[in-house]
Amino acid sequence: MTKKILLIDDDKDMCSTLKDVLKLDTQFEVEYTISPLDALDKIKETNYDLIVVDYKMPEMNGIELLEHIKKMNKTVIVIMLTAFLSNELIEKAQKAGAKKVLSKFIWPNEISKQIADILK
Amino acid sequence: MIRIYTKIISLRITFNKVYAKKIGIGLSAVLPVLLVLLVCWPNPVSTASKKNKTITFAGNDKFPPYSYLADSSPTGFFVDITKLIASESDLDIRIKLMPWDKCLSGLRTGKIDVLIGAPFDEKSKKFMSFSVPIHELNFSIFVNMDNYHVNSLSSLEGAVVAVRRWSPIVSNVDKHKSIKFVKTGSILEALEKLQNRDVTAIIVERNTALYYISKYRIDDIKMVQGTISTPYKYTFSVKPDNEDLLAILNSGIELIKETDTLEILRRRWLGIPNSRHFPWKIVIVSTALLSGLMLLIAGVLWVIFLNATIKIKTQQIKDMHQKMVEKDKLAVLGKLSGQIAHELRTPLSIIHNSIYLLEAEGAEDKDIFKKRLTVLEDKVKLCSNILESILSYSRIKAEIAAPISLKECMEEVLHDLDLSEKIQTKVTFSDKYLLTVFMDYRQLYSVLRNLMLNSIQAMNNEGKLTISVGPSDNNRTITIRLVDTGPGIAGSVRNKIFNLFYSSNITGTGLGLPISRSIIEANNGQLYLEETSQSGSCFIIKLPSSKNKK
Repeated sequence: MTKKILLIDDDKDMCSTLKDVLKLDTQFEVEYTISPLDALDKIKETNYDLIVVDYKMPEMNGIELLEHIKKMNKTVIVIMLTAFLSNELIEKAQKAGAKKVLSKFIWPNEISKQIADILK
Repeated sequence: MIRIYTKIISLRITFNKVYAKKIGIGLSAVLPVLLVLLVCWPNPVSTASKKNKTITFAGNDKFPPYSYLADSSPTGFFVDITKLIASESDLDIRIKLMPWDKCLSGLRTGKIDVLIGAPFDEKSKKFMSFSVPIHELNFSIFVNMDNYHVNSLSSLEGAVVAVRRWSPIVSNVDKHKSIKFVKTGSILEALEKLQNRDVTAIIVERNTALYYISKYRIDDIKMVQGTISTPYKYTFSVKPDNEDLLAILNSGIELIKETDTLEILRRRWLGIPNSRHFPWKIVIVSTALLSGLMLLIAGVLWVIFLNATIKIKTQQIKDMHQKMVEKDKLAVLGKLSGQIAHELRTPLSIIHNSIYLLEAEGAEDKDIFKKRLTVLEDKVKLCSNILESILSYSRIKAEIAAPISLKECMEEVLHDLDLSEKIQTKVTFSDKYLLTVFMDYRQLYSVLRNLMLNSIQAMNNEGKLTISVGPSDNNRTITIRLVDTGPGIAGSVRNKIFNLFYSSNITGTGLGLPISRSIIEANNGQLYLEETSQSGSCFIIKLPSSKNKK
């Protein structure tokens, strides 16, 4: 069965390019949304295998969204993407239940590889 | 000296009158006889005043510090007084010191004219005449150091006590019948008896005993505190028939008492200050001067200390300030670097992704290819804008300043923003004046654009933006007013919104408002948030009119 991935980032271009990168490198089914609130609706309806969450978003930040997601689905794997990686953020994200915290500024195929490894 | 002579003359007249009455002869009848008698009368005073007869003074040779022999030479307090009076009275004198009993017999036989330091005694008046007192002497009890029982005369009942023979104390203590008195030739002898424990105590003149104790370093004898009786008056004494000489001595004593000479001698020999003549004024003035001097020195030292402290503290403050400035610069630089990195990484990662996809997909699908290129172009522009914002902060002072038409600049900003229909804009210009400001066009453009974008974001892309431009401060300035219908800015953050990197919007960089304010202030203007009773926010830009620029 094809694994389902949801991307959440307020930058539409980030979402679309990352979706295309994942589609290119993997066989995963990828969806995206630029609104955290919309994301929560989607999570209610669909059972995603992995969710990629951006940290800095206008409606709520990635940590808050992560906490909401974990309340709704404890087992879902969540990866946090951030433009500015810090130890403090990694600690916060992992405490909230993130499987991994990745920098946005890594090779695109590296993101695909990391996600594929997690979903093996 | 003159006074003494006057007294001598008056005394001689008195004396002669008395003498004339005594012989019971009328003055007129006996005048020639008297004249002969006056010339031939063996009067020591008259001879003394003429310095043709030497007057012999004698005193106790073992009575330090009053009279004693030092290298066979008479010395002491009484000796000095004698010399002083002789000098003042112009008397030719000779001083002899010897045992007191010899002094007494010498006076009796006429070998001695005056006794120095004779204790006044009513009973002795028939043997000698006493001058006015020259000094008062105190008597004390002395005991061995280990004697703790004797504390007064009455505590000596039944004990053996030594006193000096001829001492005036003898008649005073003799009434204590139960005390067995031993009489010695001198005070030193009495002290020796006490040291040898032949006697329990001695009652002697205090200063003399203390003189010997000090001189011979006697450490096993102590003085019982307090005096034994009232002080004894010590005088000069002469034979009862030598009243003239006594008068001269009395005058001399009074004279030296009136001056400080007696007190100087008293202090020199006995160390006793005279409270009556104590130079309080000198002491007070000296103390005041000394205190003033010390205060002055202290003041000068204090001023020097303060100056030094101020210099040190000032340097410390300067150093601290410099450190703070450096620290602040580093903090800003660190924060700025982090912010730049953060702002640039998202578009750069999109660029990265797009290039990665282009490489993989090639240009076969032209639509996709074009889409990738558009994203690339947009993100490169975004990166450029971010850098431009940051750079504009670092070079706020305009390099290309020129008169700018506000209307023209405003219209261009609005055109470029390409606002949606949900955003209504109303821009009004006062047509009475040529509304121009003197500054860099790009800077004004970025400030206006930034403020308008903030308002549009605050209104969540739906609302009304009202801009009015007009002269103010008597045409010296131009005010631009931007009012939106957004939620407004909460009171708690009103004073933070111009802080570097502060952003109430999670997507904001926190650079827009502080950069805008810096630009306006660099052009001698003001940018601030005006408090309004209505909802929404109202930003004011005030710039000098270009008419004020030369």
